[in-house]
Amino acid sequence: MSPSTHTMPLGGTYTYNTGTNDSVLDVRSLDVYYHARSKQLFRKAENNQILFDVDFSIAPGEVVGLCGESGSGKTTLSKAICGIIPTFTGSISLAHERPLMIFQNPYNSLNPSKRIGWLLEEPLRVDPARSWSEEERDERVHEVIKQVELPEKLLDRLPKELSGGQRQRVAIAAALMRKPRFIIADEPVSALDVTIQAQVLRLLKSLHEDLGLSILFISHDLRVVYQVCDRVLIMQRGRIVEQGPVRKVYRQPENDYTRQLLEAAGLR
Amino acid sequence: MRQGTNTLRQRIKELPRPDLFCVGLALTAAVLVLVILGVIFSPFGATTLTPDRLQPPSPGHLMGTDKMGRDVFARVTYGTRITLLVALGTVTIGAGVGTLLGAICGYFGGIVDEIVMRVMDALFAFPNVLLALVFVSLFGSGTFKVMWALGIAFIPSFARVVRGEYIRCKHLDYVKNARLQGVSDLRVIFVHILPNINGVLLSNLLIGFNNAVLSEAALSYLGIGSQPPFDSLGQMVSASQEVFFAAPWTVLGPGLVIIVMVLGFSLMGEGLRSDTEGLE
Repeated sequence: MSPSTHTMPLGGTYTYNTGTNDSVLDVRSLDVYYHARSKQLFRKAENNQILFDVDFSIAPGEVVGLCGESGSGKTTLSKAICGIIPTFTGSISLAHERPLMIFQNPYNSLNPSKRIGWLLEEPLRVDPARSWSEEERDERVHEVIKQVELPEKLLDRLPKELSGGQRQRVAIAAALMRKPRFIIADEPVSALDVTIQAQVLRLLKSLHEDLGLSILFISHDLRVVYQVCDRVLIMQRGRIVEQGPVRKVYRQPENDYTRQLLEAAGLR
Repeated sequence: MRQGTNTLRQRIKELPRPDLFCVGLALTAAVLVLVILGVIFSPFGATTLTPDRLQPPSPGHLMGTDKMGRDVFARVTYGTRITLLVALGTVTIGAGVGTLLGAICGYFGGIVDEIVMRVMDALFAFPNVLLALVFVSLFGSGTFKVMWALGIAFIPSFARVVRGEYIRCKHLDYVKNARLQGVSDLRVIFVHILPNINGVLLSNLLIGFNNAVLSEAALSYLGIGSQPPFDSLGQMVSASQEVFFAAPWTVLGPGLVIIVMVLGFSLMGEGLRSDTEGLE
């Protein structure tokens, strides 16, 4: 597929399908604004800046953690990468298609009125890259349900008949349907029990190893990040204050805020 | 004494609660069976005149006869059909257009939403029957015209409920997820969100059906709607009121059917609503 570039209203550029092999995601000097609706009549609406000069990239097959307290801009960054926030300057370029997301709470992210099989097929039905025949879809569903280690009999169930861990596996499966090379996981285990957390993390890790999948792993839990990530970005008030390999950042943090976070997590 | 009432109250509380939906379904089914039986077995047509005027109920005339000697039971079965038809048409128009408008307004929001909903508010400000009267005076009377008039008058109530549901649903993660996957807006509206508001929609549909039956009866009572001699239930009540004291069965027959029908639909709607609310 040929690259498609969108120029956004504030001058930012959003490019996907660049086909480059250097990185799956490349974010350069990204400033993101939220358009605040004017509360007063006759007063022009102001732009609130949420992210300041964010600069990073993700290599193929790399799992990158994104940490920071709530309100630091983690979710905003992930939305911008998905291309659903148009108000930014700088550039976001993706080597392949737009990424799909795994949400925090699997109780909300699966449509309660649809069966699991239908939910898994949906990304293929609306795939912008190609059309899938019914047999191809069916085959792919069975392939992916095995990858996420769920029994095939669940395909006829409704989300409410599944446990939290099973639901999150379904959400992961839905994100994998189109054979992506990069996905975003937004606090994928925060809503789960500790034992289930470990299972889901193990699954993400094995998917990363088997499929060479790159993951942007958003979490406020530094322990979880340490388990699964190769590299970590620490965000504070809209800025990336520190980034580097997980071991290095955790052993020798250079930034005070990183130190605080590590201490709060009991890792120092 | 106090002890006694308490235990009595407790006993009443402990009684098994009847399933409202099933009771409603039974009542509605009873009316439908009545219509079918009447159509198949009644030896009289709705307009057959007999010399026996104002006869009280008897084995020959189950609900007696009216002032022109027509069998009230046969007329009630026929009138029920007309009333049901009008109510069905009204709800179809009202719910169909209302759901469409409500879904689009709720999902997209913005200026279109503002304009459409202000028009709906203006329509909503008038009672259904009054609004229908205006439409009837504009377009003329008749069974189908009343159906359209009531249908248009019913749009705002459906649009409001559906819009509220869409506003609630559009921020949920499963909708965001679908949009990230690249599902088109129309597909999100009708394939992803609509099945999730079925419960709310259905209970409103039944309550709307109810209001339609009552409104149609009220309009017919005012002499607008289906034309004699093929009267709807409301019109039969209206036409018989001058002989109410001499022959109360001419009013009670159609009146009872209206009551049972309305009760049946409200109970069904209420049962469904408490079910869906219980789920959430």
